[in-house]
Parts: sequence; C-alpha cells; structure tokens
Amino acid sequence: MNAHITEFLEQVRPFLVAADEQDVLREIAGSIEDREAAMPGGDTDENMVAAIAAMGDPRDVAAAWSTGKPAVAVNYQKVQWLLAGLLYAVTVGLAATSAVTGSSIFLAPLFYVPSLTPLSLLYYLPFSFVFDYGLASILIQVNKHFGNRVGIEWALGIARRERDRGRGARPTTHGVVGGLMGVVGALMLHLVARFGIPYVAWLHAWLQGPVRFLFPIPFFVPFTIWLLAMSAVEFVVTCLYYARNWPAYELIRPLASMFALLVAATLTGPPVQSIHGGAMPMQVFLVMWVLVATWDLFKAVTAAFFDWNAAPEA
Amino acid sequence: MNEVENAEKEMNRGFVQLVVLLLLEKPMYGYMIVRVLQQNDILVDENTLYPLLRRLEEKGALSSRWDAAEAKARKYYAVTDQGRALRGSLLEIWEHQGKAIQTLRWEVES
Repeated sequence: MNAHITEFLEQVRPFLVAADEQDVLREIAGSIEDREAAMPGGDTDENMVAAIAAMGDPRDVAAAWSTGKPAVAVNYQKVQWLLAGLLYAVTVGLAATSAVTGSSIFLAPLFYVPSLTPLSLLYYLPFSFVFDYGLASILIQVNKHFGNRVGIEWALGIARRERDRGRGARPTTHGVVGGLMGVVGALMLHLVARFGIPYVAWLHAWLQGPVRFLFPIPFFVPFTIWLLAMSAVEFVVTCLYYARNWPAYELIRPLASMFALLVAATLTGPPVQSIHGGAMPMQVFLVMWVLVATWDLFKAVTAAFFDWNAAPEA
Repeated sequence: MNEVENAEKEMNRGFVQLVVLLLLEKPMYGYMIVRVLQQNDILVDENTLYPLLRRLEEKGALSSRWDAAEAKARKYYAVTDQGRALRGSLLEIWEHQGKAIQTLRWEVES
C-alpha cells in the first residue's frame, strides 16, 4: 500500500471503533485510490497527496465512517464538557446549601461536601473546581490531544482479551477485578474512617485551610498526596512516551515516579506521625493494602488504556 | 452554511438513501456509486455515502462482499430483499410527499 495512505490510515485508526476497524480502513484506502485514479495524470505522488487531503481531517473521516460510536469520542467532546460542568454545578449547589445550613452533605456515591461556612465556601469552590471540573477538563484535553478513544469497547476488550499489542505485560482480567475490589475497599475504608474514627487533634489543627476540605481523613492525607503525585507523573510520562516514542521509557517512568514520591514525601512528611494519633495497626495495614491495590490498578488500567488505543506496529 | 444549504442537506438524507437502494440492484462499490450519481447530477460526499452504505448494511438492507480479483480490493454492495421492501416504503413516502406538495402549490397558486 502507498506510504501516504498508510500514514493517513494510522491517523484515522485511533478514532475508529475496534469492531469494524479493519473493514473501514480497507474501504477508505480503496476510496482514496479510486479518487486518485480519477484525477488527471493518474497515479502520481502529487495526486495521492491531493486525494488524501480531499478526504479531510482524519478525526472527521473516522467519525463519519464509523457506524458504531464509542462511549466518549471526539464527536462527543461537547457532552463531556457538559457532564463535567453539571458535576461541578451540583457540587456548587451542595456547597452553597452546606454553607447556608452549616451541615455536611453526602450524596452516594459521588458527592461529599463537608460542613462549610460562607467564608470557607470561598476556599472550597476553587479547589472543588480544580478537582472536579478541572480534572475532567484535563482528561478531555489529553483525550483530544493524543487522540485516544475512551469507549466501552476498551473495557470489554480487556475482559475478552481481544487485543494484545505485545507491549510489555498486559493486565489480566483478574488483575483488573482485584484492583477494582481494592478501590471498593478503599471507598468503604474511607467512609468508615470518615465517620468512625475520631480526628487526631494535632493533625486536625495542622490541616487548617482548604486542604482539610479535600481530604477529610487525616491519616489518609500523606498517602493520597503520594499516590496522586506518582500517578500524575506516571501518566504524563506515559503520554509523552506515546506521543514521542521515547526508547528509554521503561527506565524513565519508574525513575520519574520515584522522584515524584520523593518530592511528595519530603513535602508532606512521613505518614506514621499521623497514624500514631490513634488509628489501629489493623487499620493502618488495611490502608496500606488498599493503597497498594489502588496503585496497581492505576498502573494496569493506564497501561491497558494506552495499549488498547495505540496504533499497531506496521 | 446558509439556510437553503442546511435544508438541502436535511432533504438529501432520505433522498440519497432511496437513490442508493434504487441503484444497487446491480452490485457496485462505493466510488462507482459516487461516479454514477455524479453523472446524474447528484452530488454526494464520500464521507456521507460510505457511512450510509454501512448503516444500510448493518440494518440488512444491503449485503456486501470484498472482491480481491481486481488489482484493488473493492467492497461491492447490493440491495437485499429487506432493502427492496424498505425501498418500496420510501418510494411510497416520496410519491405521497410529491403529490402533497403539488396539491398545496396548486391550492396556493390558484
């Protein structure tokens, strides 16, 4: 196949639904060749480039040619923004209600707003924006920029082991399910700790300001910050790897992750200080176990996400 | 895009579907359909036609087969019995709408 066509198809591929991918790509290739053959001069390099250009933007081509649509595709970015906005709007509404009534509000499973005052509301809303709407916005931008498809097919594909890009160890179904159980455990532990364990007095005093609103469980704070720092760095490095095809990725990723952990740990201080305040050893163990499981899940899902969406090797 | 172009695009959706179902009594591949339509002064964008073909195939109105005998592998589409039934219904709607327009114009103009 002509190199220009191959290149164009590789740009189209990430936006297609996996189920009809090969068929659509084959048909697009045939269509380009027919279009080129009908041009004056026939089969020339210039005509091929012109025929491909006439097809339009690869994302639009993929969107137009796909019969099945992924749950979240380029075409649905407006919906993503809308949903992210709605989530934030609900949070604002709950926060305003909390500031007026003075009581905390918990809407399972998504929304928790601590007891706020009108003054603390001013702190809470910008931080909530960053963590709710802002996080969704960042994910949408990553999705848009790197051309990744986030669809049901991806999750189903992992479960069915439909596709193996052969890039390192692929997460198995039991690994993902185990990780999910870890997250559910984390959520339960979070709720138990939130409502069942008394705050450590000195840590409560230490956590003045907006951070307290974001992480209502004191002994979770350092762990959570570490996890977030490592996850964020690993995610960015992984994005860059797939964008730039770094050969040293396997080395850079853990190094960057460890560096992030070092910086985060230096900034937050050791978590044992907060645990000494009253948490039971078994609870500490559970926290550690759940965090490790969550971390493993993050790694597995990230790897699966990029493996699934990466263009296959030629 | 102005209002007329918008309206034309809307009206073309059903029209192109009907034309394709009429045309594909004889198996044709995508680009061939585009050319035949062009020769009949019907301009259809490929990014519109191919998804339509795939949708109709998914609904069972068209069948397809890859022909690799030629230098280029081509996917030939042909109308099925289900497609013929759909075509009949669409033709009835089209004729009914045509008559309704004529009647309305006649009433307004007379």
